[in-house]
Order: sequence, then C-alpha cells, then structure tokens
Amino acid sequence: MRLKDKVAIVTGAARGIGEAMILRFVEEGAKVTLCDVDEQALKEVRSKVNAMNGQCFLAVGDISQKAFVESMVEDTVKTLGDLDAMVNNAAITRDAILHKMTEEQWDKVIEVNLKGSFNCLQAAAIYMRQQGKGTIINVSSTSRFGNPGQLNYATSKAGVVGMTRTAAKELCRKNVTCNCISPGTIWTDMLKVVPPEAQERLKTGIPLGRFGDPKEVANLAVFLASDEATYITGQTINCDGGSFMI
Amino acid sequence: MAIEIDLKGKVAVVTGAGRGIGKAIAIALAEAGADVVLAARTAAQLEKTAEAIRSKGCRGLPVPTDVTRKEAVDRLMSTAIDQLGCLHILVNNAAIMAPAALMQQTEEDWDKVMAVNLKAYFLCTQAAGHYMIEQKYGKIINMASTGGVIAGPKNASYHSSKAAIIHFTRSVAIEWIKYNINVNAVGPGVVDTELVDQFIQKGSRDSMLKGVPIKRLADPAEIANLVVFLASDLAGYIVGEHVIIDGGLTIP
Repeated sequence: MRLKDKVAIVTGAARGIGEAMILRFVEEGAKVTLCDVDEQALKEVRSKVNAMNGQCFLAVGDISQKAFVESMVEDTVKTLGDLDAMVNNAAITRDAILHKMTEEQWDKVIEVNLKGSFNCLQAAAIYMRQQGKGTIINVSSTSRFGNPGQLNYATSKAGVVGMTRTAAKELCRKNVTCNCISPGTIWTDMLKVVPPEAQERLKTGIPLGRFGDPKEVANLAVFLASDEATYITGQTINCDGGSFMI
Repeated sequence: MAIEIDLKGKVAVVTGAGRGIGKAIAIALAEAGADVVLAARTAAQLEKTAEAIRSKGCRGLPVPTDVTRKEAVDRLMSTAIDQLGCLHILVNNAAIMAPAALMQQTEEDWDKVMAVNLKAYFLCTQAAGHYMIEQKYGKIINMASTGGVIAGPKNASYHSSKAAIIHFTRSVAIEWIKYNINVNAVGPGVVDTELVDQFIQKGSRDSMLKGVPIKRLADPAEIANLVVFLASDLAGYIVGEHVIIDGGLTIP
C-alpha cells in the first residue's frame, strides 16, 4: 500500500473527484479527513470508507472560513495523528458569460476556489513546516486555459497554479512539496447536468475520445501523495485525455 | 484491495539502460513485475542491469544496439517480440551531451547529439509502433529534460534536442491515442548520475545546488518512479504531457 499510515485531508470529499480521491487514498492505506459543506453526502462517503475498514474523520464546514480550516487541521492531527497530504479539491462553479456575470457569482467562486484553497494551504503549511515533511496537492482545471462562460472559475483555477508555484518555492527548504493536478473534462455531477448534445461536442475536443473517470484523477493524486513523488514540486500536471498538451 | 502498480506480464524496452537514469528505470519496471529488454551501445554495462533485473525474478534481455541506426532499432524491437513474446512499454531514454559555446560547437557534435537525442526517439517510436498499433495497446515514455523548457548557455544542441522531444511527444500522442497508446514525456532536472559528474567540475556541485530549491540532486530511482507510474494503466488519462521532476528548479 503506497500511502500506508499516511494522513490526508481531502476537501470537497462528498462527491466526484474528491470522493474518488478519498476511496483511492483509503485503498492505499491512508487515514483521511473528509471535508465538505454537504454533511449528508459526506456521511454516505464515510459509510463507504467504513466498509473498507478505513479510518476517517469528518469535517463539515466551509473552507472559505479560516477558523474552520484551522480547527480542521488541528482536529485531523489530534484524531488521526498527523497530516502528510493536504488535497485542495473543493471548488464550485457559478457559470455565466462575462457581460451577464453578477458580482455575487464572481465573489462566491473566488471565495471558495481561491481563498478556500489558500486557507487550507496556509493551515497545512504551518503544520507541515514544523514537521519538516508533507505535501500539498492543489486541484486546478484545464478551464484555466480559458473557457467561455467560466470567467470566474477559470480565473480562480489559473490562480491556483500561481499559488502552487509560489508555495512550492517557499516550502522547499522545509522539505514540503506542493503540486497541482489539472483535470480536463471528468465524468462528475458537474458534467452530468450538461445536455447530451453539448456533451458530445465536448468529447470531440478530447483526443482520447472519452471523458475522464474521477478515479483516473485520483490515481494521480495517490502518486503525488506517495513517497515515490518526493522530487516533484511546483508542477501542474494535466490529466485530460490529451486536450491540452501544455 | 489496494491497487499497487502491477506490470506483471508486460514487456518493456528501455534505451540507454546501461547506467544512470535508464538503468534505474529498467530496474524499477522489473520491481513492478515487467520483463525488460535493455538497449545501449556497451554490452558489459547492459549485462549488469540484466543481472539486477533477473534478481527481481523478471526476465532481463540485453540487446546491444546503436539506436541511431534504423536496422539496429528494428532488430531490437523484433528481438523483444521473438524472445519475450510482446511489447507494451517503450522508454526512450538514451541521450548524450556535447556542451560547447555555440561558436565552438562542431557540426559533427551537433549532428551526433541530434542523432541520439532526437532521431533515435523517432526510430524507436516508429519501430515499436508497428507492434503497439496492431495490438491496440502501448505506453511510450520519452525522457526529455528541464533543459527543453529553460535555456542555459553553452549547450544549445542538447537543449534544442530536448525541446524537440517535448513537442515530438505531443505530436505522436495526438496521432496514436486512437490506438490506445499513451505517449508522455518526463523532464528530469539535475539527477545524480555519471553524466552530471562528467560535466560538473569539482566544487561546482554546491553552486549548482543553489539553483535547486529542494537543495539536493535527484536520485535516479525517483525519476524511475514517475516513469513506472506513467507506464501503468493508472495514468491512462494522461496524454501528451511533459511531467517535470526537478525539485523546484524550473518552477516557472
């Protein structure tokens, strides 16, 4: 097991990529903190973890609230014994084309996707620096290359890349690494609501000819969180079936 | 329950497998269960790698090869098929360096670097492609370098060849993903190998580390870990990427 006895926090763990990460991390022997605002859905993921005899801790709350994030890190260390990997996966969309985007749509997305990730990054980094080990995995998106109707989301996801690089440079000396996963179009609830004909259109832009499975993104997170990836830092890796080779 | 990286039943070809990163890759693939065909010019070094692979309980087949020659490369791939039955993974790794200020770079050195670092990748990819396209399965990992992303003085031939490999990777990836062949590249930073020793004067090792935020050179085994991951089905949705592994050296 590649993550045996490691402790990880995954935000946005109630569904989609976050849920897949939790299940893959547990499969690989990690103890996990499940973080999300949706308590009901989070409890369902916990049942799955329990069924795998995994050990987990539930953190129900909003990552854009600094106090919540700080206590989540503290409780994780207290309950699960350590913190080896912080996975900043939680994100929301509030799609609208530019001239119709409301201030609220902009603020909400930036607040969760960028400030929320910052809060988690900072709280985890403070602990990991003291330990002299640890890794932070941010989740961006290929929307960062520009995606009509997602100005707020794409901006936040491009921001996450800058955050990754800067944190990596700062944390290197403390043996803490920081990387970023940039998923393409993945078969999650976010995508399932897209009309079938639009889905087909999306698919034509993917050289691999199919949407990604959340598990395929989770595989990359497992690798980056493992001791096999300790020389990789500051990188953003696309997991997108070839959509953006850059 | 856990899904470890399992390459049992897979056959890999690794070029430049006699030493350094290539040797580490070959051994790491064998640790994951793969049988490995080892290519390089020097037979004696290959045999040592093969012994290490056999000690892991896998088949290790040394095939001394000049990868810049088409007939030698074709023979390498057909030997892999004849002796080990199939071919699933190709790691294009063999590379050379001929550092020189541009005005001092000879045409011969330039050609040599391009032959090994670029043309050989083309030849090996094409020769392996015959089998991989037919079986609708393949993993090709091209060893590029951070030198293909950031420039440095007095090594234009090497840097140019590595930049070309990054785009070669993308081009082939686009073309062959329809055959279920994943093509990706790996970009190591400064790795602790003989090649580095050869080109770093004594005492300048420390000054070199100044540019590496993580403050140490990479162990070849760390590069190999990434190659094994990309060679596995866990990385099936990763296509045409150049994954950099450099301890923060080139964080843009």
